[in-house]
Amino acid sequence: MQISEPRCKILLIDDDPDFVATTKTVLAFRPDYKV
Amino acid sequence: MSQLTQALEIGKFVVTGEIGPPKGVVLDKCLHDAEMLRDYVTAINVTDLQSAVMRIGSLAVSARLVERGLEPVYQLTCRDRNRLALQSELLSAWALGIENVLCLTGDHPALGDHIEAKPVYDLDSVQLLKAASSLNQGYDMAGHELESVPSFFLGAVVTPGAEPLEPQVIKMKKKIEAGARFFQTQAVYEPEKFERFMSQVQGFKVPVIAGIVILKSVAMAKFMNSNVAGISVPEAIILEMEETKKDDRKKKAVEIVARIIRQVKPFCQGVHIMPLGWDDLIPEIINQAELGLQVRTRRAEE
Repeated sequence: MQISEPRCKILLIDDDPDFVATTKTVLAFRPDYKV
Repeated sequence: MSQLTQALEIGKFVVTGEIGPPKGVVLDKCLHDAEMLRDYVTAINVTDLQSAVMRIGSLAVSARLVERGLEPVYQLTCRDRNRLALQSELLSAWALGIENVLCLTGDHPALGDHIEAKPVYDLDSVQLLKAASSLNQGYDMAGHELESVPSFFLGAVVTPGAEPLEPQVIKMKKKIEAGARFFQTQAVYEPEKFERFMSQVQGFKVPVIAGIVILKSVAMAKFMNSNVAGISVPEAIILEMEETKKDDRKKKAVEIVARIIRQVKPFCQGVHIMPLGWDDLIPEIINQAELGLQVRTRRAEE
């Protein structure tokens, strides 16, 4: 699964659902978060 | 085996530096910057289109460092290349004498000077590490056997000041599982936060080299606070810089950086100094940070 936001710095390619869910939660509050 | 590998494997405290390739074809200035670091660092990172700004490539500059007897840490990002190009470039790097590779996802083109560029991101940093580890074992990503095999020393990055920290720690673990054998961090300005980070990742038993960016001006500090995720220059440092006369800016920069190095040194296995053109300050930083022993040792070895 890939999360990418063209305007900001986040990009994540990962198949681990827990990690993707954690990252999505963080992004909801911190759209500039970079992993 | 690279000097960086050897130093980290025996638990030596290392200093690494960094140079940025130019936007052009003449390498004199960046090679001069690298020469300034020669006596003080174990290896020199060469950035790969840093901040997504088009420049000459890190492969060419890293190869030139090898020619001069300097050891590069070749930075490779996933932004501009698919898996074919990344693997091919890794094999090319090995053929050019490059052993240390820092695997990064890379800043998005929207942050750089070609905002219309198509981002590739076929892989991210973890998958790039897996691909490079696989090459080390003699196979490409498709499982095909290589005719001859490299032996890269693979590194990755982490942001100790990120809030929340949890995703950083999870991804750091993934990077280690994928083959990262050392870490260089985003710039550290808050030693207490760095100590907390290190206490969380101590169990990973992988060397961490703390990133140190020389602060050149108050404007730079404020810019990083506003624009660089995971970096926070404390107000006290900004105030300290504001109260410094313009002529004393370099002296103050040395003082601040050396102080941070002294504070983080007990918790990490090295520092990665990013001088951003102020390479002439490195000797004084190392002296004031009380890292002089390493300088003497390296000179004695030569």
